[in-house]
Amino acid sequence: MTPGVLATPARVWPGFEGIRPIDCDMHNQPTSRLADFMTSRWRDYLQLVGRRAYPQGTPLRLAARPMAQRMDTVPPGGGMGGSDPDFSRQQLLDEYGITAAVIGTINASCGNSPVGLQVEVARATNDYNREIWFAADPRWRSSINTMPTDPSWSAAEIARCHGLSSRYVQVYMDTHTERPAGDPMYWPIYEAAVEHGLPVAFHLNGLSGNHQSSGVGEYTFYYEVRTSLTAYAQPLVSSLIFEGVFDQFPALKVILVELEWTWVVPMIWRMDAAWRTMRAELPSLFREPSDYLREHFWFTTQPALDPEHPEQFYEAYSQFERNGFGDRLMFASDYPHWDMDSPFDSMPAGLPRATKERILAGNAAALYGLEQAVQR
Amino acid sequence: MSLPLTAEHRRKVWDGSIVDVDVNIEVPGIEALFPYLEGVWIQHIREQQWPGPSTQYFYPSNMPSSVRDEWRTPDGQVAASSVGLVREHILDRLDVDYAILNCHFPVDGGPPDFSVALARAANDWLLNEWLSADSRLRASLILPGPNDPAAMAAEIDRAGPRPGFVQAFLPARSGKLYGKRLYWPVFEALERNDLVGGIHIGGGNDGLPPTSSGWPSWYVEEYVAEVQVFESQLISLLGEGTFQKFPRLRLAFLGSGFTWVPGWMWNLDRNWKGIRREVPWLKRRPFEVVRDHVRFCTAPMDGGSIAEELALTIKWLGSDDLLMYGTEYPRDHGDSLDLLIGSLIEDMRAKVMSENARDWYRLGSRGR
Repeated sequence: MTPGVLATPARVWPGFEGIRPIDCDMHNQPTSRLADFMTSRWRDYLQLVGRRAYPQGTPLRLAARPMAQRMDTVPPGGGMGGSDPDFSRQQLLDEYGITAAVIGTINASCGNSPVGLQVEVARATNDYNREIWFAADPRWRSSINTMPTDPSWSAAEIARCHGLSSRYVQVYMDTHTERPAGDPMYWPIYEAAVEHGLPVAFHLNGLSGNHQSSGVGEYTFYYEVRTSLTAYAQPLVSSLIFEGVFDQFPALKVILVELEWTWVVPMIWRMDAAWRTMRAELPSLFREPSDYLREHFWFTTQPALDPEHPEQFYEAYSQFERNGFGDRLMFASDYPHWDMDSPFDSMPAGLPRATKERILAGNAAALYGLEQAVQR
Repeated sequence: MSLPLTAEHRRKVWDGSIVDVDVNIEVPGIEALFPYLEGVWIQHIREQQWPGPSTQYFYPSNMPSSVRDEWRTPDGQVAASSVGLVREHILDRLDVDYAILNCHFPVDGGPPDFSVALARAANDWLLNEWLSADSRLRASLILPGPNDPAAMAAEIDRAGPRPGFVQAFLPARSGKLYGKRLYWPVFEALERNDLVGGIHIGGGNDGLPPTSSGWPSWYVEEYVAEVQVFESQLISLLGEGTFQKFPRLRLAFLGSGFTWVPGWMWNLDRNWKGIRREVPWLKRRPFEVVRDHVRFCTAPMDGGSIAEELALTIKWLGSDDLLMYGTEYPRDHGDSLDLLIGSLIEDMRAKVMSENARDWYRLGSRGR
């Protein structure tokens, strides 16, 4: 079945009739099933030593439930939200008539475990997603988990997965790499992504437990940690652009997932202003920094913009659109996390029909090369 | 072009009064502080042939962004290092009522007693050689630490009451976020002395890299992304309940710019709705709390080139009181006074150019 063919939402949301969303960020949870896809060497190692998440603040910080899950996403048979493909299908795909949802499995553990274990977990995750989730429903798509600590392994894994299924639609990179994302050490990953025609999606992927959570050390409260995700965006974008990644890989497409978008226009202003006074440092960069941002980046909606006054949503979105990003914002639900967004309740129904269609489906369909199912 | 470079231009664009809240000055050389240092430290400096703390990391001296070309001195004198230079370039040329001096003299970290001695010497130098020299000048205290909050508070109590100090310089890269409760003695001392805490670009960060993904490679890369450090400080101060603990605390964000503030605060407001039970001291929207306790310097302005776009961002701040004009002398960020004035509604102009700063720093009507 091609995306969207039989999807119909569970009910009608006024203002969104006939729009069939594409979800660019859903999280599944392999839990203990991951072991079935691992070699005995590392399965036994996990039994003996475990993942060794560094205890920096996390045991005492009151997180919003395990993996921040929405309480009602626990499947009828028990377990974690996102662990049962069938239940997730009902709660997410069927509920909203979603035609394709991209799985991102938050499952990295690196920097403080053997590289052999790190890449084994990433490989097993990719196999689990294909064998369990792709088999369960044709609407699931998946990211290819990589391991930035081993870029050449990651490049080979991208090729392997791409060869196995066209339903791997993007390469997954962590927002918390050990060097800033544009560092040439990661270029083999970007090269492989371009070679196989896949965008690279940056999303928090588990390293945060092992790195300082801000540029000035650790936060104390979950409120701070959760809210500060967006603060990772500026250094990440700045590094990719000023290291010359896009001059090296002109076809590279980057998706910033769960990193919001209201910071984009101010960042354009700052980058270009800085460029005018500091360009002597980097004469090799071909174009104005904002050109790279406009050409190479895509953004996702969740957590949805919820400004002080309702009209500010329209003002902010128009400014974003006016500055060249009208085809760059894509719906993401973040299911099954507590702050997940419904495609039809998280944006103003009063937006123009064409804008709603673009954000909910059209922009993602174009980027991923998916068929867009819109009934009029 | 950016700043008003002539008195005529300044008058043409803005004929009202100006308070400049961010004039960056330099210690011309470590010897300048010898009159204010005990012999043991002078000996220490001489024996080690130590040239003084370097500001090269934040302001590479040959980068145009560090010092605007026309403000470099032909005789090799350190830029922005004398009252005469500031008078000529800012006070007289812009006809400024008040200028607040921020000396980024990085003495945070290192041996604790030496850090304290240098901070005290620098503050005494500021008082004797700057504040006494021109009645239009006000200054920020230089603090030891920031890994030594008791010493920071002690210096605020020692030098804070002296005439002319209106603020304490708090380096944005503090190694530990300012919301952390170990800083409570510092904020208590600021409240006690009725001084503003000025969170300004700078700081040794206790050796930590300034991002959660390690060290940036390029200067321009790091500069562009520095917004995230201020974002983190703001969320920490709010999340930890600093403003509820110290209801009279006034902070200023300097060198942070402000165009990121509305989006960031909407983000904090939204998650506050979902997670506020964890931080019960936050009884109102965080954005409302910020309006009561924080002001932002206009530099770097990052306003693009379209006044209407910048005006929209300013409108989203939701208050006429939050912005204070600053030149960030002698830096060059391409800021334009024409653009700033053009983006402010008429009623806001006097506030941003002068009144908000007078109110926040308790300045009088005119310096002279």
